[in-house]
Amino acid sequence: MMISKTILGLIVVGSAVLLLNCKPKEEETELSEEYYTGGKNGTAFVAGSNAYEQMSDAVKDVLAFKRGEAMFENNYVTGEGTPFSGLGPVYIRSSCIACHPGYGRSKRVDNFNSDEYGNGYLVMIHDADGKILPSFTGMLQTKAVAPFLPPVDEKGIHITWKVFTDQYGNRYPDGTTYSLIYPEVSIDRNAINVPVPSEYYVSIEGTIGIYGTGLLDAITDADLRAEAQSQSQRGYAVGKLGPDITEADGSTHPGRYTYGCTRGTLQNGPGSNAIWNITNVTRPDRAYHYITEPYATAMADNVQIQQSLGWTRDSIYNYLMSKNLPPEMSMSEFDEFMIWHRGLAVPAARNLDDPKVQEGKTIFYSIGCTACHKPSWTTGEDKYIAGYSNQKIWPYSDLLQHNLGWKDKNASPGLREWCRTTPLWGRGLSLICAGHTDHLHDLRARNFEEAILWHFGQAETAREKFRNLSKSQREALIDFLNAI
Amino acid sequence: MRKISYKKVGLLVMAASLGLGFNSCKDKEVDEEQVFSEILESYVDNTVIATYANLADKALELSDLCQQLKAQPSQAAVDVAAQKWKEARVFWEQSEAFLYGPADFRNLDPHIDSWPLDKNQLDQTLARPDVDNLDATEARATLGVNLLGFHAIEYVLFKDGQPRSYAEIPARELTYCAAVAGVLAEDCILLEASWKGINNISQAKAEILAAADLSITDEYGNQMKNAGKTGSRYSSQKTAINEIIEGCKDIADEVGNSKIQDPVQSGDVLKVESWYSWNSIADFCDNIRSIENAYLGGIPAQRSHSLSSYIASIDKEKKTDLDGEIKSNINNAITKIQAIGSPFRNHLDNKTGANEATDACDELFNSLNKISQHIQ
Repeated sequence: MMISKTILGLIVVGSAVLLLNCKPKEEETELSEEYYTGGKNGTAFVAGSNAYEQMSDAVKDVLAFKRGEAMFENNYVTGEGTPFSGLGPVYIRSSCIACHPGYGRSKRVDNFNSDEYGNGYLVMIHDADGKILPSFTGMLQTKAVAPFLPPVDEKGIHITWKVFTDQYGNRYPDGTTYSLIYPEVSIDRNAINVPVPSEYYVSIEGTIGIYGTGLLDAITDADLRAEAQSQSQRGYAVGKLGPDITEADGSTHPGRYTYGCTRGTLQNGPGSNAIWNITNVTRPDRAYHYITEPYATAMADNVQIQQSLGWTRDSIYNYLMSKNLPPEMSMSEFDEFMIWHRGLAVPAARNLDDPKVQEGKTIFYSIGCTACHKPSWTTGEDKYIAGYSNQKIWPYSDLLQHNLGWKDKNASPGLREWCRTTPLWGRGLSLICAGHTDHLHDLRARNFEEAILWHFGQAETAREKFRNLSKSQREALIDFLNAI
Repeated sequence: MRKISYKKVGLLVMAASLGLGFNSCKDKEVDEEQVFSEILESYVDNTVIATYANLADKALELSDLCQQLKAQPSQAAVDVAAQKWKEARVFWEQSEAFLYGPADFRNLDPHIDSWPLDKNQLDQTLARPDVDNLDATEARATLGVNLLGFHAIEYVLFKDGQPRSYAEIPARELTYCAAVAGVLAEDCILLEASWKGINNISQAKAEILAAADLSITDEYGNQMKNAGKTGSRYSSQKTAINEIIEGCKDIADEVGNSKIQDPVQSGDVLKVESWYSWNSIADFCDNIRSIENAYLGGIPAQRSHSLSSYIASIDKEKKTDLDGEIKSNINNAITKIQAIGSPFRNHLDNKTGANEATDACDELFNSLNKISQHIQ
């Protein structure tokens, strides 16, 4: 049986009344468009543990979606010839879901253990200017298939959570206190198995969510550039457009994915790269390892590895650096992975008719949040999923980078002095879906309140307005964030 | 094969998840709060915790038998351990309608049922002399998830669908098996404790967790029972009820569209999960029985308050028969899965049978959808 949207709207509007007393007839009202966070065709009306895992109704090939989903959920294994084989020789994690609990973001941890489910921290080793050191891949590999060694033994990675105190002593004007922490990360020199200079720095970054990324892909470059252009004309919180990225087909697109806006399209986005470089599972368009030359040299020069494999130094080096490795994943499998990736729907908004949520919405729109957390976009034509075309979506992000001022606060921003504005859609479901409420690029915020209070730099004016709200108003704003 | 209408599902589910009232207006609200409380209590205590307690008990017995097998290898010891593996497996498969919560957050699903087994890495591991001294503590600390769980134990105990000949099993494999069975037992206890509360499990089980340095603070069962109250991650009773339904739908969908269709469409026997015990048809049927237990309340012979009786009461009022439809679809799914032929790996060419089983799972999925529609 099909339930009409009109009926649904009636139910939503009448809900408060129905629970308290029964009226013979309710006024029929359409569900407001903000409930359809992923547009009419990309929204899933599920609010439980599997809310981030839903297939959008616009996906046509259900079984391909399911097979792609299996690639995300299953562990990749070493060797060859079995399902999900091809892991290694050096890798970051053996499955995607290990870093995306419940398909959501990774969680904050005290100790770096890549076998701990939900620890999705990616580690970067870089110089003082943030440039990744040549011995290491952009995302540090801490796992290897014997006899190979990982570039870093992860037992030598240390995360220390430091207390941050703002200029107000972490106290609201109404006297209520709050707590803020940030990470400092180090790696023992003797845990490093490749050449490293005397001075090196370490940063961490949590994984981001996956749902809705297909819809973000459907926003046109022109609209993205227009938003950047529009912001450049205003005198505050001017966002930085991601750099132009040239794709394999020669087309160029501004970066819109990752905190650093380093990826311009979903087809060449963080997910399509991760299924290769997190696992080092090769495929026809990636017939080589995600590996550095200094690492290959270090492994090839290692006599124990030579003896264990029974290979010469050159054989090891050539294997590791080969550009013509046999594919361990076929392009049709990769296509199915992308059907799943692109097809994940956005959870519908919830409780928008609740008076406190409505109060929070008013505050969200009035204290400056929307300057960067742009509520809605309308997608253009989508060549992958026709149903994603011309959809009004509600990601609450301008997809531009902004400066949250952590460097000025000496609060260890790592590589991300400028961060892409995080889409807020569905984030209120993180506790039930992913088991935690951690936010921001390195997950330093343990809840929405702390996330807001880490908004310095371009967002400090909004932060000040938030601090000056009453307790009830602050709660209302957070109720709104939980609802969208 | 029928395409599942996800959009319809979404609209229906949303109505439920928003904590809405009911069409019927006979001063039912208070009664319904009570009814939902009873359903949630029954589901948590008599279905979820009862299943996990049985799983933990069987896993402990399996661990003991694997230790005995290691100490005194014999064919009888292999046979009895293999039989116990199957008994424990029943309760794991019957828990797959509630894989959310602790099974997910605590990494217990991949630890307990990691698939595929990393055979290449396992061969390397079993070539190491130090594995002769492996115990559960060391196994937990040093073996990745790809070398733990039911399928790792299955590798040692089974071959070609039968218990292995004990003479073929090297002593090092028996050591590995006993260590991994120890980790499995700990993880199954952890699962029970995560729902029931660490202080509410038996003293013996608590001591095993303490010895393994495993602790929990959550009592997930209470989160569901107290849905809608402060401290619960479920904002309303409806959200929690909906979680039950979604868990059932997820596994109905997975059995039909992934576990059955993936191997059949690819013709790849290695995509059939149980490589060594060939237990997959029994596993699939137990997955459907997990839906049956979640829907009927309790476990067989110990039924209690349930979604089923609630739906039956709505049916009576509305002159519908959704309860009958769901029960019939549960039985039909099991019948059609069994009709594919066992072992599944030898019947991958039975595409008609597989498609009928998948259709039956889809029909079950679609009838479960209608629960939300009935409680608007």
